[in-house]
Amino acid sequence: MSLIRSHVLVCGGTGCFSSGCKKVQDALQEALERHDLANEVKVVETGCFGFCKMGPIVMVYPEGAFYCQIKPEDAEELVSEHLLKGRIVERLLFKEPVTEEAVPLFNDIGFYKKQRRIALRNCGAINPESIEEYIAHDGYQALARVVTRMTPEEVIEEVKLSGLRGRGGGGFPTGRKWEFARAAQDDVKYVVCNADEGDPGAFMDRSILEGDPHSVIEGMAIAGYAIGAQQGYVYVRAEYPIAVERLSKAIKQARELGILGKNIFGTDFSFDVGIRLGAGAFVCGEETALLASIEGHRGTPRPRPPYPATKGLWGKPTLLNNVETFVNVPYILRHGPDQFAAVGTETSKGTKVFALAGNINNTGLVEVPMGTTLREIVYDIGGGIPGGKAFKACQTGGPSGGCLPADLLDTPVDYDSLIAAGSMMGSGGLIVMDEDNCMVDVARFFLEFTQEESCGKCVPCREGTKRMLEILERITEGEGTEADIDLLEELAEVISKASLCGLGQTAPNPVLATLKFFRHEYEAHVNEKRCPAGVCQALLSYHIIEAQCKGCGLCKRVCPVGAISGEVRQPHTIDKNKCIKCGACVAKCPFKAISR
Amino acid sequence: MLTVAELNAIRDRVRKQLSIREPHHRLIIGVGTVGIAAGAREVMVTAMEEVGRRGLDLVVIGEDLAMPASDMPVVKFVSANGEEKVYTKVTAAEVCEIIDSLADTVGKLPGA
Repeated sequence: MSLIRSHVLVCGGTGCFSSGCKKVQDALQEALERHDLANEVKVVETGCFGFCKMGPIVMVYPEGAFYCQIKPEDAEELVSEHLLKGRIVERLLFKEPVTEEAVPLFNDIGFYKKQRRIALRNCGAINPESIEEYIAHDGYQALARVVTRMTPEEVIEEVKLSGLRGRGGGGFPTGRKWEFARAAQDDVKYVVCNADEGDPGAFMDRSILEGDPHSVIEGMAIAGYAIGAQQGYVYVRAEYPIAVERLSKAIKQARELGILGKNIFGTDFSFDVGIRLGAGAFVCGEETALLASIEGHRGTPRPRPPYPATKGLWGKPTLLNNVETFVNVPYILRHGPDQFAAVGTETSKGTKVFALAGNINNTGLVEVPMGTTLREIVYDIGGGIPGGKAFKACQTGGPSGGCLPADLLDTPVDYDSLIAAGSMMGSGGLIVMDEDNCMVDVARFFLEFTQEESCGKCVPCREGTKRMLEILERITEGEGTEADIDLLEELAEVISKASLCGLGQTAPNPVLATLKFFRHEYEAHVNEKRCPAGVCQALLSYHIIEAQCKGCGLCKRVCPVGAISGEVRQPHTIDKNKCIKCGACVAKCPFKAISR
Repeated sequence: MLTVAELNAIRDRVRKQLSIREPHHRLIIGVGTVGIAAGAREVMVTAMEEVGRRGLDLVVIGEDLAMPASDMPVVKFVSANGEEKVYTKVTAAEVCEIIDSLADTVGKLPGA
């Protein structure tokens, strides 16, 4: 008989893993044994809770107490106070950044209040390595219903009715894609899950695979039934070891139980899933390059049509969807298309998961209904900008997307509104930038990334991104001219029109978006040789404002190259020939007497 | 091969264990320092055994209840709709009687 009265959930996502959740887990287990509570309290490792900044996260049930930034040393107090004597340990609870108030319950935390978890419904709620816990949360019920009671056409109809659109970034209606793959005539078809998440800073797919791998498998199996495929592949990058390990375990458990394999739930339907590891090339997120890579070829794209739905993996009809798209499928088939479509906007249904990063208080993974405004995400969920600094822009869609300035903060987040505003949804990276970010430098960063990741197959992308990067480097080094800005725009147009695949076609977007909203920053770099944000080193010139300098000598001591001289209590000076513009003096000066 | 009935059986069995994460009715035992000194731990373990044995939709929780020391051990029942009943100076044998009196109100867990 089970005597367990409490579950202690410890986040085991990559974020919490790197902040030491394993040691916390061990320390909790030891403390429980010391207090003779190991038979009453069960420690469970879960997937990502999303609040990565606050990791390692520990959640104690039945109370639902949410503890954050737990260290192994805290385990004793947690066990002796909360688990033995029933006193919630206030000092370890989450404190709201503005009010400093401790919030005991998960659902009352500002970060979670405005979220709506559909794709992340099981992340942090179940043990991802237990197929039984997934089943207890109604896992595989949708698959059972689909294969025993529905025709493939009915399944596709429900997905179409739900309004689900591809979460990888393109936003193509999922039901229609399934319809094309269903219509393709062939005995052999494939279902492929794109888990080659390449946007810098994005980790939605990784967290889903780590926290809820069975939902992905279930979504793929439903897709297999709908289009008539018997084999699926998950293409995931090898640099996601925890995701790969949990997915492998999940596939093994599903096979052992008979949920994957021959005659699923006693029907004629058979389906299996395999894993293919990618080496982490950004271009392999492009569907044709991804399929080439699975086939064992070099990951380069090919022209479309034919689309993978008619001619994909090994020349067979292939349905390719992103992790987040698949994870929504069991929810739709279980709760009905109407319940899914009730969330979101007219043209974008459901929710979207974002990886919130950059200069923001609450970094982590958030899931919001489509149509939530950027302002709500940045301020209500993200907790605003640290240090009281001013919001400047947020980048959506990673290197393929664009940035939106402060006056567009009320843009609702959905596929069409973001494109209309001059950016794009993308796969869900959301990077917040404040007044200290130089937008020319941001554009240079993304171009450096796409140029490096360009596969080199087509000239516009291979040569064009290289030339654009050179121009941007020139501008940030103070050697740009006004003609350079025109040239950037001209190159951007050619690259986006003439490139073979999405990587090249969207590579100029960060430049175009920053030019659209922050042209004055480009002009300041080119005409005044000045970087308004004080980021581009070549354009900085440090000098000490005599009237403000008290001669304390702190700057002199911190300067690594001995470029500052001066007598005590007398204004100091900087030798510009020696100065390496590292900024150490500015950071140290208590009187704000150094300008750049 | 797994049948749908077998899938549902696993769901119901494991859901019982996971009811801790979504408690409906709660039986709170005062396990503060004074409560433990008065024998609350024994009451708690007995309550857990009894609830588990009968498969009731009732979650046993330890909490530091603010009650006079002379009333310890204290047991508080909070139903899913918030109704409360407080029992004082409860012994291990009595907690079984309390659970018995609550059995109809709380009902059994699905599949129990």
